[in-house]
Amino acid sequence: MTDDVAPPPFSSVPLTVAMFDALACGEVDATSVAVLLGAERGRRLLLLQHVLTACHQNPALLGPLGGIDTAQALLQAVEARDPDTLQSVLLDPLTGMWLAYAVQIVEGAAGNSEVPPWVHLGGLGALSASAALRARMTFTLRVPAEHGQVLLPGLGRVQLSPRPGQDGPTAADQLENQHAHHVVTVRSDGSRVIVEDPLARVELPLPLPHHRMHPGWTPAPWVRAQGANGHVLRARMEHLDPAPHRVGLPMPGPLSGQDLDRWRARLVPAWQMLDADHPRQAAALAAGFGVILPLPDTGPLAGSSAEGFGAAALRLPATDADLACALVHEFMHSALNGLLHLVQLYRPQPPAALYYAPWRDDPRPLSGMLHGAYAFSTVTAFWRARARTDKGDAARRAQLEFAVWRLNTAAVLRDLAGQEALTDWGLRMVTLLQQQARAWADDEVEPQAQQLAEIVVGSHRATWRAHHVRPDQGWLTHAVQAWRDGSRPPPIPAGGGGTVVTDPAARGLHRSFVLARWAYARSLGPLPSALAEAQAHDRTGADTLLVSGDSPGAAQRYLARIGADPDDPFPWGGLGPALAAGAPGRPSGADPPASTRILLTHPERVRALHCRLAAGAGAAPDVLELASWLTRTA
Amino acid sequence: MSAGVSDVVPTRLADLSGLGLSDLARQDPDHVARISASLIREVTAQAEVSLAGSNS
Repeated sequence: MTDDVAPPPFSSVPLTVAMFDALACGEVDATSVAVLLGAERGRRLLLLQHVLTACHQNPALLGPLGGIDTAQALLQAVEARDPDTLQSVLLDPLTGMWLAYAVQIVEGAAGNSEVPPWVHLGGLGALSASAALRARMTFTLRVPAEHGQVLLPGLGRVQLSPRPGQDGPTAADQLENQHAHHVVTVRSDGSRVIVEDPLARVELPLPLPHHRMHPGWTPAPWVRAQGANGHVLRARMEHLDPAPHRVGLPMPGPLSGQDLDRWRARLVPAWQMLDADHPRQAAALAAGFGVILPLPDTGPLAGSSAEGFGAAALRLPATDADLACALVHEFMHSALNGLLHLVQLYRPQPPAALYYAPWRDDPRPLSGMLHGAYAFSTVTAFWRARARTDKGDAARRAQLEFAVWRLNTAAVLRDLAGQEALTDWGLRMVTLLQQQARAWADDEVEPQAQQLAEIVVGSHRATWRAHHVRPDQGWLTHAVQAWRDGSRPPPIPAGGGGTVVTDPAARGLHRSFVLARWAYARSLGPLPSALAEAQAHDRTGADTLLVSGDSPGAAQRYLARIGADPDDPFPWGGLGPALAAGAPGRPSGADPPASTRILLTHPERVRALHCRLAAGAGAAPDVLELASWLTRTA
Repeated sequence: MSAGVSDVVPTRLADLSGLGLSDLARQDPDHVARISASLIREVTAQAEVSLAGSNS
């Protein structure tokens, strides 16, 4: 187990094997979070020093700001006077995101942006000003403004307004039109802050107000919750800073007062649930989580960035349990990113190396597989605990979630364990996660929940394969000829064969999961709108029949749909699970017949062969007969 | 799982605990650049891969 270790005089960050193992199997607690945060601090210091050096070497990067000396000196002065404040600023997740993009700018690797590089790099001045304002220091600094707005990272946003005597549309228009990006001055005497340029001025008291009542000031709001075990969550609802978008996360907000009330109303009971029933996770989050990027009600559900330890972009989920789960889930991505910053777990892979990830519609790279296996291991444990705690429909929902995610997690870990791209440490992590997953295999869940879980898992996987896996042409040509000749089919290559080609039309592959939650537990899941979408897309009603226990009826409808449009991947994904669930007397977990198994494991081959034969002379072959024939290999 | 494994995991990040921004600025710039090189490459490369907006 060797790696790229920093040379003396700096030793590398110490990490014991015991700590690695705890982190690797998802047992993140306040102690391990402290280790990861210590490493993040050093990492960001190095990134910041790199940006500073690059700006000193090339002052033109700072455009009209002229240089970075004053901002750097102020930051160092804050460090000398109030090191805790500097530490807090340095470890803010948004600082990490800003730094990453700043490094990409100075290295010439940032993509095209409407925002000039000096505006982003000048964010160091804004960061220094924020730190100095927190430390109540006296300073004067030039910082960038965009469209009359000045961001004070972590604190809020100043909207410049015309100076007295310059009211009216002319001055406002000048601000908007002539100064899309311009330089303003921020100065403070420790008791107030003044932000100004020749046309406009805003004065604010210190400490900065936490409400929006002050003209020209929009604070970044905070939410706070305390649980019965005493763990406290303090999180900034960050909807003002563009840094997340620049590292690839969706844009948060806007966040109205009403939105904030909705978040608070959900976050407090969600945190109380976490602290009462999942105290180790609550302790970890209390130690290392600090920023929610509130996403709009449409678009991505959640996300996190490798550069933003302790931040999560989230849509407000429908239930307390879903929010608690989302917080834990996203924080696990932070923990794994922190570990990946320390230890290489996999070797770089070519972009075309893509795999099946049961939590996504699209094929994912190895890094995504590892992240998902790690985060969903914790999600599985979360629902396992909820299944033992909750009552009624909530307990049924938890049983279904647990049954689905233990199957999915085990399958992904099995796939990962065979990956040569994993380093020894990566393989060690997968092995530890597998040990944990094996302990869940014997947990009893209601037979109906288990059967539904097998349907959900099987139909997602099969539909994914029907969309994204292309059988090789040689096999297909051989199979067509063999069918026409009445001879045996060619064998399916070991490991499944085929090529993964992303089908951009693959959407809504979690349809059966959404419908199953509703059918079994009257649960809308994390996104209430998903049920209406799933029902609307289930045009034949086959998916609804499948999750409602009428698998023979579902199979008939899938077959009818294939007859009408054999190119549609969806019925091919549902048919195998419907036939498997409908096998008379088949106990849950028992192997289905071989012809059904091939529709579960290789629907893309049956589909491709069926389409090729249907396109030739003669009638389209019977789907079940074709599937049965494909099992007759020598 | 301990066979053949020492008690310490070799990490790829310099330990800067106890060191501040001002201390780092006083270090030999070439040396700081050397210990940062792989980190800078890694962060720079993320310009190409981080746009998925989701880790998994």
